[in-house]
Amino acid sequence: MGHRWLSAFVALSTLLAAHGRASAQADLNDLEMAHVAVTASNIDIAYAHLALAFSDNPEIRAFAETMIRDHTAVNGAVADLAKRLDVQAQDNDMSRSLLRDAERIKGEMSTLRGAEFDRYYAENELGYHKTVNGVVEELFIPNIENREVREAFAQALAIFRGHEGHAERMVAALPAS
Amino acid sequence: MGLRQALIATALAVTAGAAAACGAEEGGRIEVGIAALKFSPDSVKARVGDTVVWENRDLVPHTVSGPFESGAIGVGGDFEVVLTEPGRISYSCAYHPGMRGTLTVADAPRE
Repeated sequence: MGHRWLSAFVALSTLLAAHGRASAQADLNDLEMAHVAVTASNIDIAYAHLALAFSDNPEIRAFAETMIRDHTAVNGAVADLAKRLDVQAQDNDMSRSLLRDAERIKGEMSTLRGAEFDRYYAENELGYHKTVNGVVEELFIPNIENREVREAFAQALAIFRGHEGHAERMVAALPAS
Repeated sequence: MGLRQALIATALAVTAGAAAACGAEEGGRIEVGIAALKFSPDSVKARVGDTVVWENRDLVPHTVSGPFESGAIGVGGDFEVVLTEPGRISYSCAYHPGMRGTLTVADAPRE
């Protein structure tokens, strides 16, 4: 399964490596980190729509519906917070890199059907959540300056860790290939 | 007994009396928070006649699904159930399978 979700990790880690880990932390401000988080959520919503279009597996479909529901709600909370703070999330290289990688993954996913699609989607979700959660926990939260933004990220991370556990169970429940 | 201790004792007696009266007539009210994809507390001891209220303080919608079904509880919303029978009730969130809770309902009425 590695190569599928690994690409998301590579997109993030390559970017971090290119900038240098410490430099990447310093280079992304709160508003850029918020943009990355919203972008990552929007990408997961797009994957979920593909799952609803292509999968008949009830567990895959239920997970996809939860991803759409939760990531839409979290993005709404981020938008509310930005409005209250009178700021706007800022586009950046990491967001653009994530989007480029997501286009490729969606292209691959769109060619698959049935059990092949289900496995690709489930494993990609597990890897994607692991990767993004790791970046949020280790790189973003410790470096966010605004207390409210930091707390919002921590709240969202707890939800996304739950998604990661859900994805683990979804992968484990797939029929053996 | 000093004045302060006397005031505290009176306040406790009044509170206990009010609770007993409330319990005898209406049952108690037990709040369960929903946050960070968890029911808190996830294990509750209650009595027949008590009302359990789940309050969604999370960023995302949830459900309380078991012998009763809340449907979607939106952010900031709540759902309440009056317990009418003793026993152990297991429930979960239909959206997030990792979220689980239990109610242990005693038959004995409140004193």
